[in-house]
Amino acid sequence: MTPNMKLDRFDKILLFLLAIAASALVVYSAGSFPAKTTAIETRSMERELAAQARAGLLEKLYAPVTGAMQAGQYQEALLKLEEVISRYPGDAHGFILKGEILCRMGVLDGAAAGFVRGVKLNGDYIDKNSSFSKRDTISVLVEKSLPSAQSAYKSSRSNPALKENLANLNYLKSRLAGGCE
Amino acid sequence: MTLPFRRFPLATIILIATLVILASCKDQSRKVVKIGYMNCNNEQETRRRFVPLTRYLSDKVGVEFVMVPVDTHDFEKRFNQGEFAFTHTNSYIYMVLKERNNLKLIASEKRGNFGSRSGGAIISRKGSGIDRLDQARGKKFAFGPMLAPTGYLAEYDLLLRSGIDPEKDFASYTIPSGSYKHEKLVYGVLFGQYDVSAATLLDLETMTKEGKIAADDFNILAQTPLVPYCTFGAAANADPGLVDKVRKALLELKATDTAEVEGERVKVLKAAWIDGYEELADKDFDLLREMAKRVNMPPYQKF
Repeated sequence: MTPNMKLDRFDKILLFLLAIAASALVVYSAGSFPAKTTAIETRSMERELAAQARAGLLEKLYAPVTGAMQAGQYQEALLKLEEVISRYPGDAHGFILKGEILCRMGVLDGAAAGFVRGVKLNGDYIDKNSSFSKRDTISVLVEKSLPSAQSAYKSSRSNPALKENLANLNYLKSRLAGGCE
Repeated sequence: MTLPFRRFPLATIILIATLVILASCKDQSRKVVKIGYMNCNNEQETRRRFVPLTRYLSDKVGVEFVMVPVDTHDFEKRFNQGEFAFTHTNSYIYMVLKERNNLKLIASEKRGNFGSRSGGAIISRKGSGIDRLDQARGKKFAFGPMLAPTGYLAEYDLLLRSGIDPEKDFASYTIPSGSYKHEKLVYGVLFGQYDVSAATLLDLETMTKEGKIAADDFNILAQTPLVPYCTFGAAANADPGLVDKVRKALLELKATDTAEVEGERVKVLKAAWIDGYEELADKDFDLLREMAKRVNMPPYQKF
């Protein structure tokens, strides 16, 4: 368009319609942002709901086990745990509870093996921000067991059980330090 | 050109026949070593569990191992008669043979929640009104087999340490007859034959896993310390090189290892109901020795 060129009526109508379309686009775009934010919030809420539902289900499923643990009846707790595990084999929470019970019973190698299986299945158990976290219990176990496990292995390197126990404790230590699977 | 086989046919036939005979004699020329296996419940079960393991050891070590099922009460006598050089027994029989015959420790079995260790418990039926150990006084009690470390010795010791003398403080006590004594104890309490009984933790665990009992059926009134589980041993004069090979083969045994039994490939650990093997030190059995001394049982019995 040259400077001396005049806009006719048709051009003016065209420009007017173009301005309306541009305005509509801006309004539509602005309107769509809150909708996107709502989707993100919904996903977070879905995650939260799933976590709460899982927590509720686990609490209900394992209530006989945790009840016996609280009463100091560790052997009874282990037997009740066997029953739950037979119905839900491979559930991380069962392995973590087994680790906790064996830890309280002083069977530290068994406890480490239980925690390793649980943490490998679900990293939430070692995450300090998770509601399922057993980080403190695992930390205490590693601190308590690692020096003796290292010296036991050094004194008998051919013993696979000592090697496995040391490997389990080192795995837990690396996960506590932030290492990934 | 003429082939040498055509020139000396008789020599060729003799050579081939010799090779065939030598190949077929390979197994028979292997050294034969006997392993005495303590019957846990009965001979049939012992064979079913340990024939694959014995075959695995033969394949791995290069010696022809032969399994000899032995009644627990005859074990020491038959070992002393030189019937077998290697032993597979519970930890109590190991302890006795160590004390009297300097039996060498090879490796211990891992099974269940406590690995190479196991313990005993004293149980009553839920709802029986017997919720504490002191309430067992004056009741009908049952022990497991007398030579069972976690079915008799550990519980007897626990009772004594808790101020209950089984000889004086129960209305009666008994040991079930026949085989499967450990299971009979548990069912005996469940169905009211006994008020209270000893029970091995491993049996409670296994029976719960198999759905034979429910954890809620019983009160666990007390639990014994954990002591070593079943163990392989070797006579003091056994070839040390062979002992090392057997130990290595046991420690290396994995869940996927198989052996051929009557034309069938069988998973060795699964058949034997074992999770694996672990090398223990003789001092790990000291807890059991202290128990035997307190209960006044062989090999420390005093009259």
